[in-house]
Order: sequence, then structure tokens, then C-alpha cells
Amino acid sequence: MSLKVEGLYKSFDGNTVLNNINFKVNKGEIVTIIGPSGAGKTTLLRAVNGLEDADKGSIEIDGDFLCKNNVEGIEYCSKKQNKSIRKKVGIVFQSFNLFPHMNVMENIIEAPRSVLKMNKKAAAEKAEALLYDLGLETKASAYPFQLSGGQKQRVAIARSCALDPKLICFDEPTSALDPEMREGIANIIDDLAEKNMAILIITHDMAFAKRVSHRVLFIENGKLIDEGKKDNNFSDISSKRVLNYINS
Amino acid sequence: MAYINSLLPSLISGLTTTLEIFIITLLISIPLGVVVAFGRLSNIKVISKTIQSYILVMRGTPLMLQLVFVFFGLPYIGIALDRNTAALVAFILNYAAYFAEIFRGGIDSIEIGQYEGAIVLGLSKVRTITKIILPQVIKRVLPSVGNEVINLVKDTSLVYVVGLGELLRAGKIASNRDASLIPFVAVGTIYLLIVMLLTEGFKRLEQRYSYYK
Repeated sequence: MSLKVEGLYKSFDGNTVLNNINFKVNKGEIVTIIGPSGAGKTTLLRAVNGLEDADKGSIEIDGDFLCKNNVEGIEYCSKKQNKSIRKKVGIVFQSFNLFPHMNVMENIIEAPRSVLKMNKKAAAEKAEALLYDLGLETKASAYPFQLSGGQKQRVAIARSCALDPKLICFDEPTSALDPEMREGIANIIDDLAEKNMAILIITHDMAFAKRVSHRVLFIENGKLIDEGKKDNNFSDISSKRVLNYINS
Repeated sequence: MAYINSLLPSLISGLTTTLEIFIITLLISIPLGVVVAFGRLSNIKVISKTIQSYILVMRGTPLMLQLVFVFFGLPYIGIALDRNTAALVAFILNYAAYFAEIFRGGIDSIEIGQYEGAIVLGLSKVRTITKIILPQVIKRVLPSVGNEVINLVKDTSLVYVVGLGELLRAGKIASNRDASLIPFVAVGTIYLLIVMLLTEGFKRLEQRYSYYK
């Protein structure tokens, strides 16, 4: 099990954003959470990445608890544990959040150097291999502003992968891409899953979700309301609301 | 020309004082400004409120008054400083406040995504500030810092109120003595030359940071 979320609640100013969320992502599995804007997708992804604290519930990443329930509500792991969990989970942000003053290589080796304490040569070799896999071998010394949206996204993927995470999250991976490049990112995500990484995607792009996911979960008003599996060609989706959303 | 040459020794002596105040103030007030900026942005209320008051006083009263206060006022509470030190203390405190506000603006202008990018990679707070945030802040604040540095060159002329003989004062003495405006022309030219050098310096610095957007 790479990610297990149980009984997760979160509200902002009395407004419930996550309402008893339960799901798992296995090794090598691609799970997409889909739903309308404001359904709680982003908050959920941020909670899994420790960017937002939940109010109740547990998040378990590769056997370690980022947070779990205690008598008072919720307990977050210690700073030290947090550091080790950090290495297990990566995220590719919607806006990528590359560091603009660093070139592609520097962006990728920053964390391996300062967090994993790798030496420069080893970190650079690893980065070169990642760039090669992602078709960016000629871009190592380019700066983010010189790259297209799709290239930036691949640099962000390489930056995440450089820490060998067990789980990679994608926030709206198709939003910066033209239609032709969607297949490219879908292939990259397939490859990551084949390397046994767990993948969690949030999107409102149903066509993409169907193309790439093993399972699709539907979220609305902070609740997971339905689930479709690729094995069943997503025919197991039963809720009318969801069918309307998909077909609209 | 012979007349200007005769002015040079006193002008150079004044210029030395001017440059001394200028350089020492910059060397201390810029790093101090960074610290003050982070204090101003601190989540700890006591710290941010204290620093806000300090900035208000420094920006809200004339620098000349602050000079007078440090040199003539502080001895009443037992802190007697010599002229040079008093002038430096006043300038450093004043300029650190202005620099702090410039840096605060720069730090605030960095997108939250840069911090989050660093957090999810597991970078330490110190590393995030020094390697990710500050280098980007420097690029953004350079034009405003350049402005402030140029102001400082001219503000140094205020130290005459505590009896220091700086460049403008040297010119004024010569002008009164010789009933001539030429010393002022010479002084103005020297200020202009310094500012031209600084302008060129900042232009190059900005170019050095222009490798990314």
C-alpha cells in the first residue's frame, strides 16, 4: 500500500471541504480523483502532500503516518518523521513551481544534494538519466523561462522523481498542455506506474482520466461519491450525477 | 584651475568623511535590513509590532532630527557617542528601516508556489530562504535599492549638524571664505561623479541578474 487515506475531514471557516474521505492507492496503480471545481480535489491533494493540515482522519504513506486520529482529533507526525515521509511523496504542481533562477539541472539536483546529501556527480548523473527518459537531455542548462509548458512539466516530474518517491501526485496535469501533448504525459505517467510508483492525479478532464487511470474516483461537495475501474471500462459508474458530469 | 586645485585638499578631506559614512552605513544597514524585514514578516506578534513601530519612527521623522537626537539626546540617558559613531548609528538605523521595507516588498512578491515547491522537496527553512527566496528577492529589489543607495550619497551631507566636516560643508566653507560659487560647482560635480559610478554599478548588477525571468 502506497497511500491510504481514512476518515479525512477538513473545513475552512465552518465550510466542510473534505467530508470523510477514504481511499487507497496501491503500488504501480494510477488513481484519478475527478470532480467539479470546488469539490475538494485540490485540498485533498494538498493534505496528502502536507501542505494543508486536516482536521480529522489519517494519511498513511508507504507505511508511515503523516497524520492519524487521537483522542483530541488529529495528531501530526514529528518533524523528523515528516522529513522521511517527504521523500516518499512528490507532487507535480499545476503551475510546476520550478525555481526560475536555477537552470533545469540545478532545479533537479537541489533536493538530492541538500536533502539526500548526494554528491554533485551522483546527483547530476541521476538527473541526466531522468532528463534522458523524459526527452529533455538537451535542456539541462536551460532556464525555466526558456521552456514550453510541457517541457516545464517534465522538468517538474524529473525534479520529483529525483527523490525516488513511492507516490507522485499530479495537480491538473493537462491544464498547460495542448491536446497533442496529452498523450505524451499519459505515457510518462504509465511509465512511472510501471516502475511501481503509485500515482494520484486530480483533474476535471474526464477523457484524460479514462485514458490514464486504473481507477477513477468522483468527488463532490467533499465526498467521494462513486468509483469507476478501467477493468470494467468504467461501466461500474452508477450515480446519475456522475454520469451526467462525465457525459456533459 | 589653480583655484580649484587650491580647494582640493579640503574637499578631499570632506569627501573622505562622506565616503566613510556612506560605505559603513551600506555595509551594515543592508544586512540589518534583511533581518528587520524578516522580523516585520514574523508571525510572532511582539516582534512584528515592535519592528513596525521602529520603521514608523525611522520613516516618520526627519533623518536630521534623528542625527541630532542620537548625538545630543542620548547623552542624557547616559549614552554618549562621538560624532562619527553617532552619525553612523543614526544613518544605519534609518537606512535599515528603508531597506527593510524594500526587502519586505520583495519577499512578499515571491509566489507562494516557490515556498511550496521547496517544502515538498523537503528543503530546510534556511536553505529555502538562502537558496530559493533571497536570490529571487535580490533581482526584484535591485532598482529600489539602487534608488536608496543614491539617496544615501546625498543624505550624508546632513552629518554637518553633529559637527562633522563632510564634502558639502567643505564646499560651503570655501564658498563663504572666497565669496565664490565655484566650490559648490566642484562639490556638485563630485556628487554627480559618485552617483554616475553607482548608477553604472547597479546597471551591471541588474544585467548580471537578467539571465532569467
